[in-house]
Amino acid sequence: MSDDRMSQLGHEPWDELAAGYALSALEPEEQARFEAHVATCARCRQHVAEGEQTAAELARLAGPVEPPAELWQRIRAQLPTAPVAVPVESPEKPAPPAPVPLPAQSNRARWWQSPRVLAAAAVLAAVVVGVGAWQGTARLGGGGTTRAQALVSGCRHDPTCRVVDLDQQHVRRAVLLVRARRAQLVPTGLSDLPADRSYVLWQLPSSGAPQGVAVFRAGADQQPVPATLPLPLEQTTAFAISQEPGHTIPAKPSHVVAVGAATD
Amino acid sequence: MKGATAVKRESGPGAPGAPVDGSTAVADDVLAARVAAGDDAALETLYGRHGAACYGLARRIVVDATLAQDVVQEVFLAFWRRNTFDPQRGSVSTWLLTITHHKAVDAVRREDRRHSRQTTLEALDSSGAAEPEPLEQVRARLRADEVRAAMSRLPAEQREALLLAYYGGYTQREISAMTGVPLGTIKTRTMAALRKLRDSLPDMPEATGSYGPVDEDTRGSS
Repeated sequence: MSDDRMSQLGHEPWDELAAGYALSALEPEEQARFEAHVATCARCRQHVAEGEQTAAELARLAGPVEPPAELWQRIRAQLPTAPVAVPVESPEKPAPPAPVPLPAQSNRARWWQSPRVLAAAAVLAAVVVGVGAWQGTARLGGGGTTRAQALVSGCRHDPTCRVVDLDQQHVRRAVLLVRARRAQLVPTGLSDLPADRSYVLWQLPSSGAPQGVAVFRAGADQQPVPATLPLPLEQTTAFAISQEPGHTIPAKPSHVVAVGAATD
Repeated sequence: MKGATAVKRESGPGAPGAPVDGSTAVADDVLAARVAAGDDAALETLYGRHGAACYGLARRIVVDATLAQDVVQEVFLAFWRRNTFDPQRGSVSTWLLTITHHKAVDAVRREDRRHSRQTTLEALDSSGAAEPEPLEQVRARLRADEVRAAMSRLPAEQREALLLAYYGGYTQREISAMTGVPLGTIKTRTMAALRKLRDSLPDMPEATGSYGPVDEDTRGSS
């Protein structure tokens, strides 16, 4: 059935395709046509989401079956080698942060707007404010100073101050303290950089390009970095720190080493 | 958590993104965020929680154990490499089971194993399945009973269309050819069956449908 013919019939044929899509029961050409449509149709996205939720309930009829013990080892072996995570409460010097691999560029969404990053930003907020154990262990590591600890502690007890933890693989790399548009970045686990590289703090807006906030270098003293935010916190999805060549803010971040959700 | 040899099981397929026992266990969506940040220990925990449900579903569809393991491996690697989980779209459990289903159907079509598919409610009795943790076992069993009861209330022809598609892995056109029922009727029945099932199941979460376009890595190409 052509799209013109379907439009003459109203939305019902698309609704039917949404059901078939949720069940993976469409022919390849139907699937391709529906995927082109669903990208622009909120109603169909809603129907697919509902259909997939319902279909997932059907999965319960199968019941769980314990997979062979070696299956996780097979999966684990396929994961790219990642830096060994250092617990945030470790008194030892944190491992140097490696760049967080960014999702491949897509013409659908920029990386900070990708579901992966948005999901991380959305739920990292729960980590920041909702998980007491994490809050309790969010101590300053590495070269954390008494002054920095006092700053963070003061912010946590100030209702007008927002604490944003910037993590890499749940290792705290920095803490951002925000009061209105004024911010202080407290490095907690950022390694020294070569002389020709710098860190850049980014503000990731709900829509639009990331805004470079400040360029800084994190020495052994891990001194707080003052900054003025270009955007209000309410318009911010997340903050990120990247490693960049040179000592200026580039047009966009290249190697992100830590990220944290901005809002609850 | 490199080199771990045992995966700790915390909960099962009934977890809608939060610890099921009110314990201090980290919620699924928080773990998903950690996976997005490259935390393999979080992936391992999610595997411990949902791997058995995914494997059980894959086994039902593809039957062959090795093929089912390949499916589950693909699912969790896809979650690691290109995690498109969106809390607004549903729970982590729903996401994993949806992707498991897509990949299992792809696999069974590639392998042409349709002859052995189990597509009746009776064949889907999971009473012999391996047991997860006791609390979650009870919750999963109760939910499965609810789903089974809701399926039983569907008209037989709608139930057949749903099960042939979901567990049989047949396309609607194939179902039409198999049953001799016009394709348009199959489509209508399938849509009606899904809606009735959703309406009759208690505690179905809201779906906002606010997620982005389909992910090629997680959605099969068939």
